Amino acid sequence: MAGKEGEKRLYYHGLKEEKRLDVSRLKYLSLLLSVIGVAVLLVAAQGAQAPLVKVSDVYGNYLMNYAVVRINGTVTTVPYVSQTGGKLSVTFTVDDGTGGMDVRVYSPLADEMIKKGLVPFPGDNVTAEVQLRVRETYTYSMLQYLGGLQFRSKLYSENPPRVKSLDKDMAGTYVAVEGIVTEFSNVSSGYLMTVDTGESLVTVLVPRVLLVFNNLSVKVGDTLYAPGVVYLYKGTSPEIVVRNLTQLSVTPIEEAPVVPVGEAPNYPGMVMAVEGRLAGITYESGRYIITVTDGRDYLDAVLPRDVLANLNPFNASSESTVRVAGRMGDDGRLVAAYLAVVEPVRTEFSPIGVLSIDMRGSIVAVKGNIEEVDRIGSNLKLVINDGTGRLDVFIPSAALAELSNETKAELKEGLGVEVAGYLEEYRGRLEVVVYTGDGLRALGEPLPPGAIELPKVGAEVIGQYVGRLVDFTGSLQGVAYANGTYYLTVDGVKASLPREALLNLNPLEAGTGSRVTVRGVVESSELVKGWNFTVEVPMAPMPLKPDEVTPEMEGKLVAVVGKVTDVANLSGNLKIVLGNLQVFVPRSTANELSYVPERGDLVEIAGYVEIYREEPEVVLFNPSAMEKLEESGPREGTVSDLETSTHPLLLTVTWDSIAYQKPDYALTFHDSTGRTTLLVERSLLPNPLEAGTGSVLKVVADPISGRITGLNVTKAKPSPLIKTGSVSLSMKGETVSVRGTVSSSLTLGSNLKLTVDDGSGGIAVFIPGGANLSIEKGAHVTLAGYVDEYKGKAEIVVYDLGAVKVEGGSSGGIGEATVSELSNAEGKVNLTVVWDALSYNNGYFMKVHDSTGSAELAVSRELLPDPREAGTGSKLRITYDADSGEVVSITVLKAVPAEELRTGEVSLEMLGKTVIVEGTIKDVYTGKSFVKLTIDDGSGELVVFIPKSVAQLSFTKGQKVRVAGYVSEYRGTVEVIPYRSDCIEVR
Amino acid sequence: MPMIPLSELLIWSLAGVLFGSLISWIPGFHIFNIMALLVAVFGVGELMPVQAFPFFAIGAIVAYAYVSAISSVYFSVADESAVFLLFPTQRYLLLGRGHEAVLLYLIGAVAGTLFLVLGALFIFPRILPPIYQATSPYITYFLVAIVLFMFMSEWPKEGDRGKTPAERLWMAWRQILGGILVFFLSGILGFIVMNTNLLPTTSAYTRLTPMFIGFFGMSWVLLNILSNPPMLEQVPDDRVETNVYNTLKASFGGALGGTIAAVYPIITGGMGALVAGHMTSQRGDDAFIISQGVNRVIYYVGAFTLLFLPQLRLTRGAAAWLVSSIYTPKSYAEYLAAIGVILLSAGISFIFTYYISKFLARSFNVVHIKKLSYLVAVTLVVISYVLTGPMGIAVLLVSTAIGMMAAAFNTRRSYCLGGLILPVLISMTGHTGYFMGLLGLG
Repeated sequence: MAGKEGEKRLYYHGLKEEKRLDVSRLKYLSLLLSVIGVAVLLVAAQGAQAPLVKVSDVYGNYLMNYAVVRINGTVTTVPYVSQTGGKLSVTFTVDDGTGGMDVRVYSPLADEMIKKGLVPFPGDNVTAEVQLRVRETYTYSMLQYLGGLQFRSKLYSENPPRVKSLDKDMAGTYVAVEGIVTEFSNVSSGYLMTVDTGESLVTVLVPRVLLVFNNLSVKVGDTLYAPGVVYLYKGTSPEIVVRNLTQLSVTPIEEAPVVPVGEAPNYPGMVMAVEGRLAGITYESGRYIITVTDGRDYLDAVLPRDVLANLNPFNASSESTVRVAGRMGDDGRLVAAYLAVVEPVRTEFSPIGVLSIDMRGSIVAVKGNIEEVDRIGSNLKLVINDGTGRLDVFIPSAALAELSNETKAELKEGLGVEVAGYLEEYRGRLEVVVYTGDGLRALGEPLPPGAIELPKVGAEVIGQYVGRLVDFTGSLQGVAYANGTYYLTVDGVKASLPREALLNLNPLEAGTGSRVTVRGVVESSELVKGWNFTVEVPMAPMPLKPDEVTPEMEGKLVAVVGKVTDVANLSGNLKIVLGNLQVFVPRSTANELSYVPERGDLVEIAGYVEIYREEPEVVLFNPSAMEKLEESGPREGTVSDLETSTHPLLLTVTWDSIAYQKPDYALTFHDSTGRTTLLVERSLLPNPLEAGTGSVLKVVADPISGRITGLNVTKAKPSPLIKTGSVSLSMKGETVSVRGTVSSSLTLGSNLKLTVDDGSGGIAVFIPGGANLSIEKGAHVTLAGYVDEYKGKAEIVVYDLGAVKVEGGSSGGIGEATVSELSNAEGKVNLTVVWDALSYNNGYFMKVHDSTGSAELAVSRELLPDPREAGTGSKLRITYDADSGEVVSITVLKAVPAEELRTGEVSLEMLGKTVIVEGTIKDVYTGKSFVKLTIDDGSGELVVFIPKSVAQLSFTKGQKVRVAGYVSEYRGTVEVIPYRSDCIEVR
Repeated sequence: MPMIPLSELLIWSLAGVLFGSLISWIPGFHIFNIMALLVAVFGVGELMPVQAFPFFAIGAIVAYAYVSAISSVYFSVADESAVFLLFPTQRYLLLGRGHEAVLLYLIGAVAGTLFLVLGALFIFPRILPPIYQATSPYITYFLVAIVLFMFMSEWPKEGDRGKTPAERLWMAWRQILGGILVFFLSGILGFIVMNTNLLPTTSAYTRLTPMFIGFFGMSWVLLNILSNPPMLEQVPDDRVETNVYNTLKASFGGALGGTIAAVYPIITGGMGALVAGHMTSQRGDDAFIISQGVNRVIYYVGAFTLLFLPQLRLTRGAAAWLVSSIYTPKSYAEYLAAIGVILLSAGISFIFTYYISKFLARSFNVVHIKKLSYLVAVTLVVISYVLTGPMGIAVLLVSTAIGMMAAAFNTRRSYCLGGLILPVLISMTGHTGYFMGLLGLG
């Protein structure tokens, strides 16, 4: 008690005690009330049925969030099933005529619903008691218990009518189709198949909801009987939605009857199998073609990669016997869906060097060290080398996806790899196409030296190796050329070589007597068909004087030192004369010369000796086999020295006159020793407003070519400003400047023709390339050029656009500007830039640059040049309106056509660049404002995005298109976007 | 729909704080119920732009999390029969230290606010999505485990008071049995309310309101009326008796419990606190009150803040569900703005709470809780009627009886959450149809 008193003192300090509450009564009263209350409410709830509501009345009404209601309507969508965290949910839409509402069923109710087959399908009429969920923009409902879903009618039949085709009017009926599965894809909504009924192609969907607890094995080629509801996909495309798997039947393709190869084409439409030896593989429009033969007849079978992948190229060579099954097409080709090896013949590894174009289509296996690894789109390309040669290895994305991460990690330069696939030719080069992940084995280490080694043979035993690939070694005796082929003589045996291989021989370093190896196939004991060449032990030739080369040296390699007395270009071939000795440089070599000698140069040249018109001639076959021995720059000289000098001269002269000599200008000048006229490029000419005739110039003059190669103004004399009316033919060749008002303006192609008048009389002015200056009548201009005669009258030719200054008037004259000046520019300005990239952001933007910087300029699509002629990289002259911030005209100065690429080569690194691609359409998607094509030329798929404003054609699968546009990116996927309708060609 | 201008956002947030502060000190009033009433009476979109509603709500919820300490401390029933079962706040009140209890609560609330804001800025956006993704498939098991834990953490009391063994056995177990009974009775009531049309469908969004008013609000004020609690003189002293270690430990425990309750559905602040309290072994009245402050701020405000997190979009708590059906914030700008509003609202609410407490401590013996309780009881009936009509009053009466029963049996009031937990568990395990049939509702 004492404790209790203490508590009271503690808690009731200074207060009198209140009355005590008997809580025991409250306890039982509340219990009684609770139980009775709950019971009464339960009875009340039993009589409260959920109200039947219209969807439109409850949709978006947040006050009804969580309300339990009934909706009555027709199911309008294929039930969609999703699995998140192992939990199922099924969603279908019920439309009661006032609107549609999604009904969701969640695990574990969804599992039970699927297992009991209570999932509603399109066309079913149901009443669903659901609980509403009203969100800000979306209202849906949840089925709380299965009893809440009542089927008022079900679209179903035990014996549905069998149809051969579908049309829109059949929507909402229950039918069945039977035919061959020609396409199969596992999409999010289920298995989507195209069934060939023999009359038409019918789309069949086995919805995912039926596959959750059931396995269905079906593949292309199988015969399918599918009953189901006809549903209009996207409201337009009829398809059959299977609602009951027990009614579905699949006859596997493997059970097809075997037909002899020769007879197979006689049974179009029949599902059959053929057996034969594998004669070849190739690729065509997204599918592979294999050719089988029974030794007498051949048959092509078209098959998807997944089916071809059953053929492991390491285990089954082209000699293997295979069984292919499918449906015979009307074109005599078997549309195959099944491939199996009946009698495998293992594929032997081949040296890369022995692979030839004749072996195209056959299965080969090679091994080598990786030299290059390139991503081409989603595909991978390797270059491997086994010591006998280099070979491209193409791994399509599908095969790449089958490689393990470990294998991928070991595909690095320097590491060894074994690959097997079929041999293909691409852009003139052989490549192995590894069509399955089984066709590649990464070794994880470099191939051991000598893993692939060819026999090294000399001339004495060469006859024993006829038909085999060898390394033929011996002493080099000479070189000859006949019928488009170079021949080496090595220890008396001829070895043919392609020119590329012969370039390994520089006769300046390795002459007659050098020890060399020719890799090639032995054709006979006298001829080796070589394709590679190496110098083992070089023996440098002794340089000769030109007159020491004699006809007796025919076929020998020689080196000659002499001074160039003449150089002539003979249709691309170069003729160089050293003293009396002719040196012939074939066009192929001439094009690769880094140095073209000029008259007077002292050079050393090496090549083989040939007899031409009974005289010895040295043929220079290697561009590296010519060296200039004496380097000398221009030296001071006078005009009179030009006649005798063979070296460039630096002259100080006074400029007398100028004239046009297509495509250059002829400059006449003098010094105290004389007067002469030399040609000069327009770009070297000074601005005549600053330095015209009468100026003192320093010029570098090449006496041999008669050209000025360098020009500097030492003492500038601006062109005199004279009255327009006083310009006369007596001034022909002299530079003048005039200032006046433009009284007429005419654009002639890229040129501009003006008449300028300062009140003293008009003078014609011709401005080559001046069309973009946009000078209009009434503009006040100051310009300078030289006086020339045109139709008997004087006119001023303005050879430098910088010599035109617009001072005002109605033209709003266009000045020159650089990219860096754009930010401060006003009005219209002209820019000379290189086009770097194109992009779109509510309008097109060109990225351009010049030496001062880069910029992005808004441009209308109509102004953009045709990328097939001038793409990114082109040099452009742009008139830019700085006020409106957009390009108003574009002139192409130097066109660089867009690069032609394979579809698989277009990558995100090329963003903005113009490209040309060509491929077969694999997929067409038409959006509201665009058409999206997926094209493939065999190297990988590529998306082409065509804005509706550009898409003037209609596209269908299988068409071949060629598209020029720029590279863009959408959500990580690379796209090519054409911006001109004429850049889309359907072939 | 773009975010509203910052100036408007601030005005509506301040309006929310003011509204919440004016309501939340009154015993039996819950901010969720009052917000539902506001929506029902005034709607959203006419007086207030819909984008402003989340910010108004967060201001009001922050105010509730702070100011409701007043009603918990000053207007919570304590009578002789509960002398061994008193909440720590009630013990403080009886000792004349009600203001000190409020201050301890405020310490916890500020700690909770800081934890929430720092977490929302730096931690939640990164860790919550993966944790939630990984654990959400197992929520059913969590719920079952927590319910089991609630029952298992009870222990027989008063087993030494009976005269006969049977009487002692009954006295020892009656509290536990009463709790189980409360849980299942409230569960059946909740099942009926959630799955049938007992209440009008046109105000379905507030279908749980009368039930919860009865469970917690009405039973509270009725007990106040019945018990005629003494109005003891209070000391308005600004000093508190605690230490830094207790404060930190309590903050951690409160934060843990609040976070569990905020992130996982159905688990309430009380349940989260129960679990976290056992996990962190909380002791001492001061630590308990501080942890309550942390817990309630994180549970109420944190749960609502999740609605703003763009990459997670968790809707937790009645207020979040109400707001999300009208406007769901979509951008990080709104998320950051919400964090700013939380800080601002917390500051204002702190001042409100402090001065109301100071005022009450000085004039506690002149305010009569009984009169206030009559007024509140009438208001609660009116709210239930306005929101759900006459059947709402019926549900209110039954749920009040269940709430009273929990008090009468001295069990945890949180067993009344069976009204929510039981039907949700039935639904999650796919047995709704079975129970509908069993109760004759299907």
